[in-house]
Amino acid sequence: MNNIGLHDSELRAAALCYLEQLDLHPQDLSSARARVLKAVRSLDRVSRIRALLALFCGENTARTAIETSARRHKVQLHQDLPAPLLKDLSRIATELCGRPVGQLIWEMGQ
Amino acid sequence: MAPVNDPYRTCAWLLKALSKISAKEQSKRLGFSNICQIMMQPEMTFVCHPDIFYVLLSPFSVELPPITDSLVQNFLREPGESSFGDLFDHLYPRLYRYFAVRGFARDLAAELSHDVLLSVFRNSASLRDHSKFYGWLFQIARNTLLQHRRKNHRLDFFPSQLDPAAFFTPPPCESVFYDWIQCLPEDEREICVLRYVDDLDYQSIADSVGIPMGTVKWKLHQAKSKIANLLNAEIGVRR
Repeated sequence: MNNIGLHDSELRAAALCYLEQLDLHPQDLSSARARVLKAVRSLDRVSRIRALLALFCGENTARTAIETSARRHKVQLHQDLPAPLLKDLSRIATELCGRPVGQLIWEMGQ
Repeated sequence: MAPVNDPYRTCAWLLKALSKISAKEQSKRLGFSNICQIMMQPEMTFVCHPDIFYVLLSPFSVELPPITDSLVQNFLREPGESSFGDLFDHLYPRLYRYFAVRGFARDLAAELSHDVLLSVFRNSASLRDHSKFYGWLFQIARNTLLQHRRKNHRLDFFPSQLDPAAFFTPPPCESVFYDWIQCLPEDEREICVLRYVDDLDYQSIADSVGIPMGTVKWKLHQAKSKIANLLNAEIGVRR
């Protein structure tokens, strides 16, 4: 009996049929895109605020301030950056580094 | 005699000649020395032209092209909303498919893909070797999947069913690929799916699963042998 050899191309073709049967077209790509990009925008803002706070108050203070405020306001940073959290950060920056820095943080978070 | 003046016609001629050699020979990865050996066979002797070698070797000498994906490179160079937005359309369907194939319902597959993408955005600075992007991406996907299963099984009290490869979505109708992978142990099944369904190269599979590339090749070879044996046994039974 001749033994059958199995080639990558055959396995790929079989895998493709398997995928076609599962009908895996991501539904609502545009809404997923909008959701992910909104989260990315929020994370981007947080990272800019953190960088600015770190510049004036130090890396640890910046991280602790953001994490504590997020916990206090029960906020997930990739979902939202609400006004009370921003106010907190702005107040911390004002206390530590003066009013202009606090104002800057507030403006950046908007 | 090969038409030496036209490298493309020569290439077609040689490929036709290659099709005459045994399937076992063909399945070998054809490097330079193999090509030379084949060309030295009496029925294939012809005058060599440098262009012919170029045309012949380029498809065979590299297993898969290195990642030169400009979208990935753009994002890794300048991570930001715009570069990530461009990358999204490229990554999301692959991630969605990754989770959907592994037994997750539509909504959950979308949710987990979302989590992986955010993780990619957050941690992109930690990826030093940009060519390992896909391995790294699927490593995050795999960790997310394991984390999700661990969390759920802790709640459902089924701690024994943690292996990610144990769950693959069964097709609605008969699928030979699904039947084939059922005969494999979990680790080989996972690697087979990463290779043929998720379409990853050896290095990316090694990075995502966390084993050496040689082991990946070996396991794939083993898996293919087992599937081939299964097919041979089936043919034997039919005869």
